[in-house]
Amino acid sequence: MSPEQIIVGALDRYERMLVSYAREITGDLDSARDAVQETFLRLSRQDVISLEPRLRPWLFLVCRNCALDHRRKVVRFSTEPVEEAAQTSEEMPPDVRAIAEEDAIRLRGLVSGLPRQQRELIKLKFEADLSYKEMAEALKTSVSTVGVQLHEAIKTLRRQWPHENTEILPT
Amino acid sequence: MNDPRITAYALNEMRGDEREKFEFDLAADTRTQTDLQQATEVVGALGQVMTQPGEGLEPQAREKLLCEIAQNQKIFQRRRKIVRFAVPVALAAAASIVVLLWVSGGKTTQGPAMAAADGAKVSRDGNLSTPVGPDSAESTVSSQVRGIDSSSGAGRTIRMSESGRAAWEMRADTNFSLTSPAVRMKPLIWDEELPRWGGFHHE
Repeated sequence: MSPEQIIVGALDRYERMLVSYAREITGDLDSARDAVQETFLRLSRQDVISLEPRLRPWLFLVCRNCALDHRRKVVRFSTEPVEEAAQTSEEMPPDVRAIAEEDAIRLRGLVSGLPRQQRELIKLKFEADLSYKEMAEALKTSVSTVGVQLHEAIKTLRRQWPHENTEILPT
Repeated sequence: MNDPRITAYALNEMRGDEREKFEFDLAADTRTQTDLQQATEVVGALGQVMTQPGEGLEPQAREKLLCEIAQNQKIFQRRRKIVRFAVPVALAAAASIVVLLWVSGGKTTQGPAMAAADGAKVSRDGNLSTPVGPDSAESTVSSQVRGIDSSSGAGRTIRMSESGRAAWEMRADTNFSLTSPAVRMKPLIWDEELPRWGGFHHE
């Protein structure tokens, strides 16, 4: 695979995740898109072949830095829930879909109420599917810190999220 | 319960011994089991909600970005080729300089022949002369050394002839100039019983 193919592949794969992640930091879509473009431009000036094994955390690390730069330039950070259209499967029956959409909106609302660092971790874990190690690399912190903060986030959501089934798991 | 292992387990982030240890603890603690159940529910719900694709770049911006990426990559590859060539050359040059400095600095430790060779002179017209020993007519060993600095006369080919089985290596390089009082010579073979002095002339 040529370096250019690797970059284009990464763009196809991570573009939306990175825009979403950057938006979490900048608070607006345009700045997030700018940050992602800047990220890929920086990538194109790197030795992509040697970077490939740790490309994912690198992208999120650089995207984060770019987004923080944008945020510093435009001091406006929205703590409002990001207005995203709830996209659920078209295959669901309408009533189930309505409930799922409602749940999705509610859960997003709960996530947006978390501290910024925890929101970032949630995004990195569930949108980008980064491991603890990759998240630690992207955020320049330790794996244990990632574990503790993510646990705090999940614990907060656990308290607020309605539990349909609290049966004890079979051991 | 404030145990980060619960979330790590729910997210499938535990491996090996750590995982086994947690499962062992889990089996004995119903509170941890309840917490894990709740954490798994939240993780499952987040997995459904958060993985939906959001917005990407605008198509025009994306096209422009791809062009710039291609351009940057061309520049990067070109620079890389230059670096690949330049680094070994620079290293070789640096190594040569180090060797030359080391050789020129170590002349006093190279036996009587070297000390004697310091008596060699370079005249203004570029001719080289050195004291000629008493037994200069036996066998002759010749070598050619090419200097580098033409302004100093060192750019000319110098033929050195030497008597006996002792072979001499003469260094006429960037260190060599008309003002240099010494032509550095190093014996490649040294035998005390062989004639020490040879003559050499400049072509």
